[in-house]
Amino acid sequence: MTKPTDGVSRNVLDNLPVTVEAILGFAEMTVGELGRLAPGETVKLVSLLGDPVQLRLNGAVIAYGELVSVGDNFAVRIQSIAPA
Amino acid sequence: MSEAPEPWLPPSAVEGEVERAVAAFLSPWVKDWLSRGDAVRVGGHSAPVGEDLCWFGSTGAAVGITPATRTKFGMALVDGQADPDNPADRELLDRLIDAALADLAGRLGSKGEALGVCASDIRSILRFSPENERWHLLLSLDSRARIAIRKAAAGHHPAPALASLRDAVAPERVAIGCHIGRAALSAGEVAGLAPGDLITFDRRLADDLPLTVAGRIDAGGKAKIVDEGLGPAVRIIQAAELQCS
Repeated sequence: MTKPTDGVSRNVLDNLPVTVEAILGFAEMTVGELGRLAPGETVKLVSLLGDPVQLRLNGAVIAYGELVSVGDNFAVRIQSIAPA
Repeated sequence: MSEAPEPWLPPSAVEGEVERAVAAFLSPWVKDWLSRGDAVRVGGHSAPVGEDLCWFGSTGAAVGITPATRTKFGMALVDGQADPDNPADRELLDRLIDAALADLAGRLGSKGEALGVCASDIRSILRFSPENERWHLLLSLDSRARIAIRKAAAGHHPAPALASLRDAVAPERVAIGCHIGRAALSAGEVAGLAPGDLITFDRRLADDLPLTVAGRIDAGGKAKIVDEGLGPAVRIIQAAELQCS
């Protein structure tokens, strides 16, 4: 049996505005190597589809996806997501 | 002249031989004393009744001794096996005593090898004293001299130069990435996401993307995703600023 307050709380949470961020991790290097990275240098990606993008909510990774484009914007297609 | 045992050294000992013999006699104790800095009691084997002689001064001061004490100290050096009334023995004793005092003064003096780095005002005590009717030579140093001697024995080991924090963290591995953008959703929409769903972000394909270092975007770097026919790549537009606050 659902308490009245549960319904109110769920409704509040459902409408809570949040911001999801996407980060494409493309390399791991030492701090020294990072310091020597100069403008113009490129780091090759094996494949955009092969590089999973992290979706973060308040710094916590909640999902992984692949990088795609929608029009002129970046987009991410969800591949796996944490249970609610 | 009384019949004396064989002298420690024959009166005909050549120049330098007495000095070498005295140095060899004193070396085990003095060397130990100088290396450890603790008080060392040199046991005398003779039995002449002695009197105290204290030398308390800077290491560069001369070692003094009274005429009466000279004889007793000399007899102690040869383990009582000499006749101070015998001119030949007397000459030998004088040479022994002079050599011993010169040896001690040299070892304790500012030119002494072991004390070469010590301050000139280091206090030391050289003491001859009777103990149970036997002569003993007591060598001792004050605490500052002990510290200086131990430092000299340890040698000079300069501290390694300080490394900058940036150099120290240079070998650390960090994950580098690009911040693709933000999307405003509701918690309900996030809870309803499933594999295959699409989320569109606010950054455009042509935008410079902030570099992320260890998941953070405050390093100041920028990059762009490009494809120049050789496959997708990330081009650095602005290097990350690696500064330690």
